[in-house]
Amino acid sequence: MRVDVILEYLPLYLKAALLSAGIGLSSIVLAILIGMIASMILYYRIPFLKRIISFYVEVSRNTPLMIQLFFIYYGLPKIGIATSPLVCGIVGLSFLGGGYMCESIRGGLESISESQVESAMALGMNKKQTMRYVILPQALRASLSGLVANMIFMLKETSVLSAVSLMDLMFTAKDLIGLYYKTTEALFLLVVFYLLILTPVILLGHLAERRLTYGKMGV
Amino acid sequence: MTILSLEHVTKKYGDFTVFNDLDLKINEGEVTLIIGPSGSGKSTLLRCLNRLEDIDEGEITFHDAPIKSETHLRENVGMVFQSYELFPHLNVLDNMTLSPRIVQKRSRKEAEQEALSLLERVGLKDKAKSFPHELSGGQRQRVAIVRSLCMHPEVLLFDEVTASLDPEMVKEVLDVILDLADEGKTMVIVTHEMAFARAVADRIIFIDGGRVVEEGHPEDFFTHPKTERAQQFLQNLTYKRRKRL
Repeated sequence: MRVDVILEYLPLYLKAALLSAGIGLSSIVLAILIGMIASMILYYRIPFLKRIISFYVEVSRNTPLMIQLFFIYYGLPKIGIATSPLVCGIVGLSFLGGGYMCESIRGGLESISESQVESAMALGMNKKQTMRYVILPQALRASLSGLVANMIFMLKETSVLSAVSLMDLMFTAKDLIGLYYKTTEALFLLVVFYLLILTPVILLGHLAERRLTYGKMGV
Repeated sequence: MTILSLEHVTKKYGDFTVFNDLDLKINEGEVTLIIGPSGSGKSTLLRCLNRLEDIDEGEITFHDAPIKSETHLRENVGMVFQSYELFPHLNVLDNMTLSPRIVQKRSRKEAEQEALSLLERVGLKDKAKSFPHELSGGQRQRVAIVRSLCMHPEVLLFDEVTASLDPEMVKEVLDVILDLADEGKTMVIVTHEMAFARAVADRIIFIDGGRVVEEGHPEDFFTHPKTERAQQFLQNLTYKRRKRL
C-alpha cells in the first residue's frame, strides 16, 4: 500500500464523504420526521390514513433501496416528475428510512401502558399534552436502540447511491479503481471513511442510551 | 352540598350491563366508601365519576350543572390508582408539578413550593429529586396521592390504592388518607380493607350486581347490615376453624 497514493486520493474521498454523510444525515432527519407522523397515525388508528401508512411501511421496508432509487430516478420522469440525483438520493433514502423509523417509534408508543395514559388524563391533561409530556418521552426512550440501529443502517445504505450517478464514497472508490487499478488504497480509504462517518453515530447512540436508560428509567 | 352526582347512569360493555339506572351523590366533605364483591362494578363506577369510562345513558353533574368538558372535570376530580402510575421518566417533584404547570398554567416556583410542602407532610421531602423506581411501593403511592392534591381537586377518588402493597406499607398509605379525611377532604374510596373502611367512612355504599344494595352509616352497616346480601358479604370476611384437632 502506497502512502503517496492515499494522500493523493484523500481530497477526493473527503469530498465524497461529505456528500454521503450529508445525504445520510439529512435523510435521517427526514426519516425520523416521517416516522413520527406515520407512527402517530398508526397509534391513534386514524381511519383511512392508517391503511395508507401500513401500505407505505410494507412497501418501503420490503423493497431494496436500489430499486426504490431506480424507480424515482428512471421511473418517475416517465410521468413527468424528473429529479436531480441529489434529490433522488435524499427522497429515496428518507422513503426507506421512514418506514423503519415508523415501526421503531410505533413499538415504543405501544409499549406505554394504557394506565399511564389514564393517569395523565386523570390529572387533567388533554390528548396533546398527554402525548407530548407523558407518552412520547417514554416511547422515544423505549425505541432509542431501534432508532440508532436504523440510523446506522441508513448511513450504510448510502453506499448504493452511486447507482443514480451521485459521486459518493462508493462511486469515488469504483472510479479510482477503474482509472488507476490501485485497488488496495482505494478500498482501504473506503473502509476508513465509512468508519469515520459511522463511529461517532454509534458512540453517541451508546451515550444517549446509557444516560437515558440507566440514569432515569426503570419501572 | 352535592359536588358530583351520577343520575340514571347506565354503563355497558358490549352486551354486558355493568350497572343500570344508577344514582349516586357525592357530598362536600364526605368520605364515601364503595365496597362490594369482585366484579360488582366498584372500580367502573369510580372511573365513571371522572369520565375515564364513557357512560351509555344518564348524566354526570358537577356542582349541579352538566360537565363542561372532560378535562375540566378531571382537573377538579383527582384520582389515585392501584398501580400508582407515577411517570417513570420524571422525578418526584416533576411528577407532582407537571400538571399544575401545563394544565393550570401555574409558575414552576409556586408549584414546586406547594409540592415540597405536601411531600414534607407525608414524610417524603428528601425524596423530591428521586425517580419513582427508587421508591418503595408505599412511598410511590404516597407520592401519587400528593401529586393529585397538587391540582387542588374538590374530590379525590381512590381505586384500591393499597391492593398491591405489602401489609406494612398499607398503613403508611392509609394514614395519609385518614389525615385527609380529618381535614375534611371529599373522597370516594374503593377498598378491600374493611377495618380501614369502617374507620374512615362517613357513608358506606355496598354494591353488587351493578346495583346499590345497601347504603348507610359505617357502624350500622358493619354491625347490623340490613340486607341479606350484605350480611352474607360481611360474613365471608371473618374466619372460623370448623374443627380443631
